[in-house]
Amino acid sequence: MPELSCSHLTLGYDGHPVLSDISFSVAKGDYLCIVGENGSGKSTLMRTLLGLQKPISGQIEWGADLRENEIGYLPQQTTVQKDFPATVWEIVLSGCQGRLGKRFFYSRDDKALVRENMEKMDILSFSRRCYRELSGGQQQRVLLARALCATQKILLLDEPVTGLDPKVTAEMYELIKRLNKSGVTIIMISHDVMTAVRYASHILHVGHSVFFGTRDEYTRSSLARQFLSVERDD
Amino acid sequence: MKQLSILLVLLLLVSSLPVFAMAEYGPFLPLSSVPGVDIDLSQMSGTVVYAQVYNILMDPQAYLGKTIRMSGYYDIYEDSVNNAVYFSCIIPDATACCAQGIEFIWAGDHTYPDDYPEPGTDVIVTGRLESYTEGGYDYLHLVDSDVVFLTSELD
Amino acid sequence: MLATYLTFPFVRYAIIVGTLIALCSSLLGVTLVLKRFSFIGDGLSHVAFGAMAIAGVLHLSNNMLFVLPFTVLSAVLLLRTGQNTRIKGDAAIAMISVGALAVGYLLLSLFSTSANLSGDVCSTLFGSTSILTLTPGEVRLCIVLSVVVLTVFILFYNKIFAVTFDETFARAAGTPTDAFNLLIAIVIAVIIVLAMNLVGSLLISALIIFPAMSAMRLFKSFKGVTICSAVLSVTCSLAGILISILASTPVGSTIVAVNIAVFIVFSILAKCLGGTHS
Repeated sequence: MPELSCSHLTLGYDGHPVLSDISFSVAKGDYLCIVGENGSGKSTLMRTLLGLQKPISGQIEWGADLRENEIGYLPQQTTVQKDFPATVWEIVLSGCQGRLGKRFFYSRDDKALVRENMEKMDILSFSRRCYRELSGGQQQRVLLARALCATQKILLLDEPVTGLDPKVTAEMYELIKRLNKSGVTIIMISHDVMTAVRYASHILHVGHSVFFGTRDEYTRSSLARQFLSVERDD
Repeated sequence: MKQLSILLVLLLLVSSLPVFAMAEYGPFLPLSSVPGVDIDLSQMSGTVVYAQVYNILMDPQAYLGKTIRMSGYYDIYEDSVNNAVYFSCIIPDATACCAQGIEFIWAGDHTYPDDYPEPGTDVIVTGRLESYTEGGYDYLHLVDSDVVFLTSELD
Repeated sequence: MLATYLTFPFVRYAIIVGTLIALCSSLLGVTLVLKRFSFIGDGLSHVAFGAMAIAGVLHLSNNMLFVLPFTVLSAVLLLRTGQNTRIKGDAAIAMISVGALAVGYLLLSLFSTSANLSGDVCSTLFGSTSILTLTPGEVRLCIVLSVVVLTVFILFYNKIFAVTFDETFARAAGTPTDAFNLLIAIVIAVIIVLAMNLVGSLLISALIIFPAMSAMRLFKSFKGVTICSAVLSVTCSLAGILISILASTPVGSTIVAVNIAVFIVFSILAKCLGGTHS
């Protein structure tokens, strides 16, 4: 039973397709990397998966064990957040909003979950700190903890290492790998094909030509060779 | 969250306490230190005077027959149709864009324009509030008024 | 002298209503500033002026009953245009707000039977002494609306935070963000109509934004900022009303002046302290 399966998806805005006829599936515990050039429709695909916009045609099916909205999402940082007065605790707690349902206030269980996920991300020690005073890597760990509060099953990460220095980037990738090893399904958008090939179990390459398959199949494909060699030339 | 709700509710309660203490919203007669005067507006801040005069004009019934003492500037209104002149004590508000006044009738034998100074002169009027009807409209005025113009020449 | 003034019923009512309005208007300030919604607040205040003018021309006995639904409706429309990516949102709002101002004044000057037109316009724009000349009906309406605004804010505090901090995440988590944006816009419209009595339609944005901006200088948690701006707003309005009564200054501009002073003090404090509290 796949966690997510998409068949013949065509995506775009106002009826203008950006991506056409995409089919892929993600099984429990997979680590899927969606790669492609800027403007190739990676973000549109992510928004469609999150239900923020409707596909023009095609079908998206989520696994039976996933309740609606039980997807953890790590968005790219917005400008609003750069100057936002909020503590780490408040932000991670907002990850529980999907669990609120008809309730108005967070329960003791919600708060216990927040504490647990903050510990997992090693940010419990600065739960009272202000978000905007943290380093880029710390901020990403806060948002990751928030995403984990929304789900323990599947995480969608949108360019999680943008703006991080190489050392912190490596740490971030290790952290995501650890989460994946603990059973969390990962879907990550990246423009960095090299790392995608290193960490992912499956690759979805979107753009002029579309590829979906395991990592090994991808590295053997002509598409990847072209991309990987270009990056080596840099 | 709990603290926040409690604090907001507390603020709400504190700010609405006077509502319970003052259930009635009726006419109010401030204490006057001048004998024979019910409402003394001459010693008050302009903002309060303006609001009090507004209340008198909006709800005159409660104030009819009361003796009111007020200070402002004096102005005239000449009605060319009826060939009549009305005198009033004008009170401007703090933004100086609104003004309201109460008409007065000077007690005793005074003739216009000989006994009256230039319009705009500061004045203190003490008189009894009465209503009258003219041309189908109700008006208010202070009758039997003691009028003191604050000018050097008419001292 | 102050004690004497406090025995006047209209002074007491001004203090009650002023405090409540200040409390309500400060709460959504943070959301307004951070969601870049400030322009909607500004636009709505002008729309409220236009509505007030229409109500004046129509000789309605209770202006608020007309102005309130009119402004709420405009809030909904403004939000719709703001979200429409094809029309430049800020340009549309500028058009609506300036248009409402012009049409309002035009209607007043054409049809108003009032002898003191400039006075009417001025007191609508700057509040003048309207807070001291409220009718008992207006006082009651103000209290009821304030209680509704406060209740809505407390109940939806967590969701409002979530939608303000990260709308995309909130939508992905199943929060109906459009509904909450609408709720926020409606609450802002109600606050603006209330605050017209306190500071007049031109100065409303100051009442909403200044306490939040001051609080954001010193406090770094959303809850801290919210509580601080509520306390600041209530204190500034109280001080403003009392000063204006004692010193015979216009109520609205005095309140805004006190808010500006507090903002400056807080900015200096933030510089001096360097660090911040949570």
